[in-house]
Amino acid sequence: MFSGRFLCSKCPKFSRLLSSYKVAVVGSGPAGFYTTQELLKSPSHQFSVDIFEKSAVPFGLVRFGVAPDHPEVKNCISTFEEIAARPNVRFLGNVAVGYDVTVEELLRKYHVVVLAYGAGSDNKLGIPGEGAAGCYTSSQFVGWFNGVPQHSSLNPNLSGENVAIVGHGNVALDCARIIAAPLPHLEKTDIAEHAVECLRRRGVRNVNLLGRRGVMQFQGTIKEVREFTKLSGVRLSVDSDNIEQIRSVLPKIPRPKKRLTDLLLKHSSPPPASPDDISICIKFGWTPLEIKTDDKGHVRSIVLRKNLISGDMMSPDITPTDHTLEMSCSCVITSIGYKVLQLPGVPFCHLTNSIPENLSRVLERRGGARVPGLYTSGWARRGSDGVLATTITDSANTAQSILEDLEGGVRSVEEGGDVCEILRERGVAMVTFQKWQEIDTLEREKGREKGKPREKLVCYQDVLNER
Amino acid sequence: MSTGLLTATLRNYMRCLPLLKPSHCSRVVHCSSLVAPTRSRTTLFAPFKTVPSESSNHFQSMKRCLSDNSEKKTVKVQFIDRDGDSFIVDAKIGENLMKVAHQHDIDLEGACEGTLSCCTCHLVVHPDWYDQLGSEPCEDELDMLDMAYGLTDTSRLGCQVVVRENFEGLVVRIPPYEPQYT
Ligand SMILES: Cc1cc2nc3c(=O)[nH]c(=O)nc-3n(C[C@H](O)[C@H](O)[C@H](O)COP(=O)(O)OP(=O)(O)OC[C@H]3O[C@@H](n4cnc5c(N)ncnc54)[C@H](O)[C@@H]3O)c2cc1C
Ligand SMILES: NC(=O)c1ccc[n+]([C@@H]2O[C@H](COP(=O)([O-])OP(=O)(O)OC[C@H]3O[C@@H](n4cnc5c(N)ncnc54)[C@H](OP(=O)(O)O)[C@@H]3O)[C@@H](O)[C@H]2O)c1
Ligand code: FES
Repeated sequence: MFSGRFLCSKCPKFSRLLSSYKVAVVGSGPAGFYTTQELLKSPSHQFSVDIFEKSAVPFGLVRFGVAPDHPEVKNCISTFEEIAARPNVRFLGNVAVGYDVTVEELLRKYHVVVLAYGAGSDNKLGIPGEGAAGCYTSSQFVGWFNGVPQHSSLNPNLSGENVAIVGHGNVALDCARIIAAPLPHLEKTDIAEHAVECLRRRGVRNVNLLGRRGVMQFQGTIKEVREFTKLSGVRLSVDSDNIEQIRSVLPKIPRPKKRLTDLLLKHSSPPPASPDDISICIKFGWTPLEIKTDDKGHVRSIVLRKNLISGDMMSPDITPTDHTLEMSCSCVITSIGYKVLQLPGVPFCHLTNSIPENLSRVLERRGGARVPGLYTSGWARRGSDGVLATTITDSANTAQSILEDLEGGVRSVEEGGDVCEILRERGVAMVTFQKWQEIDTLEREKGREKGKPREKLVCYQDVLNER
Repeated sequence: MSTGLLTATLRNYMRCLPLLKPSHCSRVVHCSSLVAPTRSRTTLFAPFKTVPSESSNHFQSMKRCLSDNSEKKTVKVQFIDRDGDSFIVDAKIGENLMKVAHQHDIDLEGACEGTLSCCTCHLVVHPDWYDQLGSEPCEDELDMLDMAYGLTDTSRLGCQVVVRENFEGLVVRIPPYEPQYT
């Protein structure tokens, strides 16, 4: 499919210095923007970059993932705005690449196509009862409190006393914090109003975070754990075996893991709870087997199997035992990471759920030939792993590969003909950055009335119709 | 810092400089040679690294002409970037090191804009200098640093280190990006 048509034509250094390369970036999350930024830093090449975004609005998980009570993390948006304001950068929202326009078409029109479309689907536990009423994936739950249009009517069941969250990553910690935090902690953030209304009626007393492995395999980061210790009305506890064994390893391990483990262990014998506190309990060594429902099909409990954690605590043996526990709960959130989706026309390895690549250069198959001009970056490349800093690094590495390849020669692409013309012919209602800024202004105004930085729109149609 | 520890840290610091040629390394270590820079990319490139933006030296000097009295004192600080290029810049006393880098177009991120919510302004301070910064990282800074790639015993977040009068000759390094593995 990608063969032959795009011949590499070595161009002399002089003309290369003057020429401007056309780049299509698929996805407007951090990977899309930071890869663009890295390319634009190049002193020897000029680029014109089109950033395609499936959603009508930009910034990916910075808008729709990062927790509302972490506004500082979203400060990176001002860098993204600066990038989008450059005369040689265009934001084309509401364009689903692979559907509205194919990657093959983009490769015909752009010298470089960067796949930075993130990891758009939830991992599944694959156990009975998953998906029952009252069981939500982390993208549904996070999307709900962060105003993702398709999840805004999720209305999760937080009326019961017990919530179980499966997974020991930062997303699980975010979900637990939003459920348990005192309302004043949330009300002045950009959390969706429908979420605040639901949280006002919450009956939750206990949130159990369930991990299948041990304390030293905890995936969350220290700042996120410490936050629980600073929230009023929240009591953090840690439930694990092998505490003494883990303590004995501490002096030998690197500082980050040591400090995190230290903090977790400190909460293995927390002070007594005050009756009004919401309990956050991080439980180690439990594998979910089944989610049970009542006769109406609503979540009633989660059945767990105890694992024996033994051997080297840094990489322990995890042995299933016969011991099971049925934990009553009316809400289960599965927060076990995300999967990269295959885009039509893009090579994909279903075994590893990833785009075959080598140093960001997309390959036809694992270990196979390169697809000239096609690159990948961010979560689309590495899976749902890493914070913004990781994504920035990834973007720099992707840009580095692109720049190296341009030194070696440039693919020839079709002259003229703007991709927007094709999209218009196909009836795609593109959203420009200017249109996004109108939405942005409106959201800020709506927020100001409530003393919030913004109130996210959960339907953009009205603004988009004013053309 | 005890001498033994210092030597260990120094060795660690040197090990983290894979991109530096030996000549660079010695220049970095003997930071007293700062005032008389050796023949290096520093002297070649630093003066040209200005763009007509608000942050440029040009703008700064214009501003200085306009409001000379309000202008704070500066000290010379050396940044070594990811490529091993080094830049000696005038750092305003009272400004944090991340801002200083940005003002001189040195390629240091700062994604959360100095709010202690990322670790993208990670700097490795020259071991000789670490104890002279006049501040220790607070718990929140350590928490963020723990997420940084290439963490060392003398790592700091650039946005948390405020330039002081005694910083004349300070050397800091921007750690290289984590390489991609295949
Ligand atoms: C709930 C949550 C909270 C997080 N909180 C933090 C935090 O506090 N601090 C931190 O440092 N990191 C945090 N992260 C991690 C951070 O969000 C990621 O590192 C980063 O967003 C990854 O960037 P990306 O651009 O690869 O993916 P994304 O941000 O997912 O961006 C991908 C973009 O591509 C678009 N797209 C998808 N398919 C197509 C298509 N076919 N055509 C066009 N566009 C498409 C998507 O709509 C999306 O906008 C969090 C992650 C999650 C899930
Ligand atoms: N504030 C922040 O900085 C922030 C906030 C949110 C997200 N992020 C980042 O975004 C990335 C994704 O976060 P994440 O929380 O979605 O993923 P994650 O960190 O990979 O955590 C996933 C968790 O799910 C567990 N899990 C996976 N499959 C499972 C299964 N089949 N059964 C039971 N448990 C299972 C994992 O356990 P095992 O370890 O046993 O596999 C792990 O504890 C992370 O790098 C995270 O740091 C950062
Ligand atoms: S800029 Fe984010 S911590 Fe310094």
